[in-house]
Amino acid sequence: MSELREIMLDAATPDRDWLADHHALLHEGRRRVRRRRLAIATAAAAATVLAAALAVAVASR
Amino acid sequence: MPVRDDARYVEFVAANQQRLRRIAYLMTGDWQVAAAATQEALVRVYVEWPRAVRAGALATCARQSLVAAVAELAPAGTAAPAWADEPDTDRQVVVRALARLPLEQRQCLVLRFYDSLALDDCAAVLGCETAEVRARTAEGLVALRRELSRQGFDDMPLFSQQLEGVR
Repeated sequence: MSELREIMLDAATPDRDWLADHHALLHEGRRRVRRRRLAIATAAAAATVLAAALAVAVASR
Repeated sequence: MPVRDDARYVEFVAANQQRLRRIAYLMTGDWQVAAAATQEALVRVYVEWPRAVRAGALATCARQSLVAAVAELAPAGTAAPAWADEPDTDRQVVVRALARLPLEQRQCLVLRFYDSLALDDCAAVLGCETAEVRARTAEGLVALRRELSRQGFDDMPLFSQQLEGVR
């Protein structure tokens, strides 16, 4: 084991116990996934509307 | 296509949270910031879960998320660790010296020496070339030695072996 790794291992000894909040992680993760899906769906819908508008414009020429 | 399996995700969190928090601590010098960065990184892992599982890269995804979270929460490290008024021990001195290094050097030193990542893996986590990782690590070791010397800890082991190893 290298000297620096040994010092780092010692230095990274936690001052107190800590556990991630699983419920908060899942809640926030699901919220971001929903937000991302909504953003993708919105962009897809906007692209569809734009394509339709272009098609109408071309057809009416 | 892999879906989000909450039970597997919770298992992953339980198995990795302490290691991620320690890495974040060495990068920030503050346990509270480290906990916040770990929590944020684990949320990002949840969002990226299907892609990361498909690529067989959950560990890399977690490290990338952690590095990004640390860069957002503590880009400059912490100037005054909680124990600043306590007598200096070797570990406090090293953490304080690390916190004063530029973020890129801190990331490389912690990932290479604490997390024992190979050059290639470290480059994949940081999104740069291996040559860049090698250069940042060497610069980081020199800067760390200079910082320790500046704080009057000339007698601390000066990592000559490591310096030779990254050149």
